[in-house]
This record gives sequence, C-alpha cells and structure tokens, in this order.
Amino acid sequence: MTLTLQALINGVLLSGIYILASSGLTLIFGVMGLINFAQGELIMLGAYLAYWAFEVLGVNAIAAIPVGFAVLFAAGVLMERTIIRPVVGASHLNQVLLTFGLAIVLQNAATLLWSADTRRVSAWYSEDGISFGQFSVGVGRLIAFGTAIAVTVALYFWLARSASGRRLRAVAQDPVGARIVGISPERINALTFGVGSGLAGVAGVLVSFTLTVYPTVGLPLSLKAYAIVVLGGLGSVFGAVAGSIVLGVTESLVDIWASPSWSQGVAFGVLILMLIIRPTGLFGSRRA
Amino acid sequence: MYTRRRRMLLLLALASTAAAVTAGASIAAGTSGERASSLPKVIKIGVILPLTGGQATSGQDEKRGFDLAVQEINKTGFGPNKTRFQIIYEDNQGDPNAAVQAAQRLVTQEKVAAILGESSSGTTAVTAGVCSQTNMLCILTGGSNIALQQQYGGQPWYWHMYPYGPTLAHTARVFFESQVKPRPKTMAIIYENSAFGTSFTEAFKQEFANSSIRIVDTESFTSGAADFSSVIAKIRQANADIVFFNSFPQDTILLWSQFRQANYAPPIMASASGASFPEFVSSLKSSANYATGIEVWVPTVTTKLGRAFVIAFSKMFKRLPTHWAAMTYTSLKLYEAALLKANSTDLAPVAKALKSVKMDSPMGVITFDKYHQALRTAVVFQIQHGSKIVLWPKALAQKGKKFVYPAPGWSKR
Repeated sequence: MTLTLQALINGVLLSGIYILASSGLTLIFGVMGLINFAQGELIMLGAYLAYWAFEVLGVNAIAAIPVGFAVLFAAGVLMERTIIRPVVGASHLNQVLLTFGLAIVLQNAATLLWSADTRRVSAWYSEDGISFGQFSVGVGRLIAFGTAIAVTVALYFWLARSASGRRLRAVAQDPVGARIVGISPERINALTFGVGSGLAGVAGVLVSFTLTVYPTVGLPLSLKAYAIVVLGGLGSVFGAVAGSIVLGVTESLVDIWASPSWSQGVAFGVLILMLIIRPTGLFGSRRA
Repeated sequence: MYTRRRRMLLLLALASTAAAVTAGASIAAGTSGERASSLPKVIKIGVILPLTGGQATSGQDEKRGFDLAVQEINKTGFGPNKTRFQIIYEDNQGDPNAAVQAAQRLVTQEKVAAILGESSSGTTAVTAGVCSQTNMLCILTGGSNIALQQQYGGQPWYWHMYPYGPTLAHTARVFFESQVKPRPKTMAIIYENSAFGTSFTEAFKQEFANSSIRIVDTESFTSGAADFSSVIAKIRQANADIVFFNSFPQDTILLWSQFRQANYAPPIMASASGASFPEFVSSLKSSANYATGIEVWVPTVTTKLGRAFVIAFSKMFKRLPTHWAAMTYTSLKLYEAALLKANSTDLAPVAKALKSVKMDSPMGVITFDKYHQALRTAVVFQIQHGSKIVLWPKALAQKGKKFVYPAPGWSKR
C-alpha cells in the first residue's frame, strides 16, 4: 500500500514536465493544424539554455524559467516565419517530414556544439528531497509540477480572457472567418508557434534540474507528448493536463506492479487504445 | 513425391550455398585484390561508432582515442613506406540497422582494409556479422555480451577489446568478497534492458550464484526513462548491502540523483559503466563521492604509458579520457603493430601477427587469447573527493587509499 501511494505521488509529480511538453504541442496543432515533431528538440534547447546559464553565468535555474520562455518564444517566431510557414496547411506527411528533419538537425547541431556529454544543473533544488513519514519526493519535481500548473493556469486565462487569446481561438475555430473580421492568421500562427515553443522552453528548464541534459533528451519526451495529446484530445489544453497526469500515474503504477521496462510501452499502448476506442481523445472535439 | 521434394530442396540449398560462397569469395577477392603484398603508403580503415544518438557519449570519446592515435602514427608514418592511416568514420547512431549499412558500405564501397570501433553489444553483433560474411578483419572495441565470443571467438577476422560481462562480474565478486569488511550479504541490481544491461546482469547472476553475497532483487528499465522513484522505492524495500547499476552514463546519473532525492544511501552503490565517465562527477558534484566503479581502465591507473596517454589526450582535447578512448587508441596501435609484423594488409598474415602480438599500451601489456580477446581484467575504483581512486587489483591500487564502507549519508558527502 505504501509503495502504491508513493507511486501515485511520483506519477502526479512526473506529469509536470509532461504537461508543459504536451501543452505546447496541442496548442500548435489546435490552432495551426501542424504536427510538430521537433517539439522535443525545443525542450532540449531550453534545457541547454538553463544549463549554460547556470554553469557560465551562475543563474539559478528556477530564475531561468521566464528566460527560457522568452528565448524559445523568439526562436519559435523566427522558426515559424522561416521554416514552418511553407508547410502550414500542407499535408500532414509534409509537416512530419519537415519537422522530423528539423529535429534531427537540431540534435546533430547540439552534439557538434556541446558534445554528447550528459550534463545536469547540480544545485540544492536538484539534489535534495523532502521526506514525510514513509514518503519522499524530490524538491525539483515539486518545483516542476508547481511551475507546470502555474503556467497552464496562466495559459488558460490568456486564451480565455485576453484579446490576443480570443484572436487565437478565432483562428483555431475558423481561419477564413477570422480573416474576414480582420485577424491575420499568419500573425496568429507565428504567435502560436512562439507560445508553443516558449512552453517547450519552460519544460526544458525544468528538465535541466529534474532530469539530465544531452542532445537526444527531447526525443522520448516528444514521443510521450504525442501519446498524451492523443489521449487528452488533439488541440485541447485541458486534455493535455489530464492526459499527462493519467500517463504519469499509469507509468508509475506499472513500475511498481510490473516492471519499469514496461512503463515506456504503456504510453504507446494507451495511444493505440485511444485511437481504436475514442479517436477524439478524452476532451477532443470532433473537428480535431 | 516426398523424396522428390526433398531432393529438390537439397538441390536448392546446395545451389544457394554455392552462390553465397561464390559471392563471398568474389567480395573477398575484390577486397584482397585491392590489398598490396607489402604495406602501401596509405591504408584505409573503417571505424563505426555511435557519434550521434543516445550512446554518443561513448562514441565521441572513442573517436577522440582514434584521432589521437592516428595523429601520432601519421606524424612519421610506419614501416618502410612510411605508411599512414586514412580513417573513414561511420555513425551507427547506436542503431543496429544503421550499423549494418555502415559496415556494408565500408566493405563494398570504401574497400577498407579493416573495420575498427563499435560500442554497444547490439551494434557490435551486427557489424561482426557483416565482417563474418565478408571475411573482413575487425578489431571491435565494444560489445560486452559473451554471446559474441561464443559465436565468433577465435575466427581469424574477429578480434575483440572490451572485456565481456563475466570478466567484470568476476572482478566485482572477488573485490566484494575479499576486500570489503564486514563482507556484504546482499545485492540488488538495476539494469537497462538492452543487450548491454541484460547480458551484464545475466553474467552477475551466474557469477554470484555460488557466492555468499545473494542477489535479492533485479529491476530493469528502458534507457532514457525519466522517473526511477518507484524502482528506488522497490529497491529500498529489498534493503540490499550493494546496489549495482548496469546502465548507460545518462541513466546512471539520473538514477544516482533520484537516490539522493529519495534520501536513500545504500552502503555500496556501484556501477559497471556510468561512474567511469567524467560527467558522472561533473554532473553530480559531491553526490558522486563514494560511488564504486568496475571498469576496464580509468585515467588514474598509474602505469608509464597510461600516464603518457592521459597527458597527450588531455592536451589535445582539454578533458580526461575514458576507457573508451584508451581502448580505441590501443586498438589502432595494435593494428599498426600487426601490420608492421605482417608487412601486408591481407587477412591471414595480419591475423597471424595479431595472434602473437605482445604490446605495451596505456592499458597494460596486451596479448590476445585463443578467442582473440585482448582485455581480460578490470579495475575497481571508488570516487573520493571527486577523484577515481583505484583499489583493485592490488598491483594497481593507489597506496594509502582505502575503500570507504559503508558510504556516508548523502548530507555528509
């Protein structure tokens, strides 16, 4: 029973990084209809940014969270304008090929620039744990989960209440109608890709002190984020949160009840099941 | 009817065997046709490594070892013709499919004289497979799965550097049984579930089957996993004296940090691969202290050639070498020595030369055994104040240094 409760706590905390990895992905798909296979590599760039800021400039990785968002937001807008825009509205196969190619380029560039060495932000918040009774949790995991929830709430209010958020939703619902009323879908796409990349940047900063940093660190996260997006429903931010928690907890329980060797397969088992039983996911709309 | 069908099948089998032999012979003839009877001015060799992907940490360090060796050798050249090496690097990305393609390309298109390198057991096995089919001489640095030796050991084209799992398991058992007082009673193993971790763990199970140290728990995971909290909770319940990690460096570092977060410090935490990499210490800082490592070589081994290699490597790359760099460096020097002795790049004379080679190297004096295995021992070290202190075998142990056991709690490291 203690083990199961510990697994539940671990699973919920693990979902923090999943939430941020999948929120950006689902936002980009929901508004732009773009399948972005380079989301994991944007996370990797965010992780390196935090690592170098910590190692070279001595910047606290937690303080680097807004920096991670801002830098990756700018990089995302630039990428959308130069690389992504030609495939927005193109077939999904073209999108997958382009973004997958981009992912490989970013991975190889990271290997060339920073070598394949495993790195890590080593600070008290990445090393220490908190024990209460028979249970223990890492401080870094707690910070990551809290950050993920705070960022998702902010994202929700931005989408629901702000003028730019409303414009973004308008383009997601009907790009032609939005253009008629004077909204530029191109600008909204750039904004969306920027925000999606910024969320990956925040996830990357969290990775730098909860996991390890190396050129391919984003790949497994990216694949899991896809499973989460399908589970929660394509284009639904709330679905991404729910999907992340479901996947994190399921993985942890599988670790305890079966073997961690199985937990990686669980994500894709869930993905296959959802595609068969409920292709729209838990919270996805029929249009998605 | 049945007999006729059997005859037809037999004929087909004979025909396909003949075709395969002819094809193999033509590839071999084509390759040896390129080879001169004495040493040419340039010898092209193929090197297959995981330069990108999850195992690139090992692959990049292997490349550094080759780069240093080739720089030293090519400075003056060797033999009467001042022969130089030209290395064709191929990236297998840690993927067996890519390794097959790389090996085939090196044999058929690049027409290399030999294939060197490799890292994981999975990719090493497929590269060895291509070398077997084409009779291509290979000196493989990677692959700890003993199945490789069982399948290819002693073949004239097959030469192997890295010790197989049983060697490291044996070293671990002898050290824990003879040097650790009071003797530990139980061990738990966490391993990644590819060929590397699985074969190592199997070797440990066999080695410790008749030991007074019992293996009480084994937990496997897929490399690249993000969370080990639940595994750590299970291992904690087993309450073993030794927790052993058979995992790649990035996984070992993450596991280690999550043991600390869980505030669980077993008396001995040991690793067969991860703790020997420089980033283990640079990433974990003081948490790395008192980690025990079983490895074929560490840069603190104080032999004369070992020191010279470490100095030259550090000067060239501004970092310390790992055992991977030492092995690739040594493998190229071995090949050079064999070529000089054979005065030919042909398989038979080079194999004959390798069989009798006895060469001093940064890793000690190297000879090949009857299975064509070069490195047959390992060292045990413990990280103390950020440095790898060699404790075993006694001949290489650093004087005045003792194994700290049980390891202090995390807050005292």
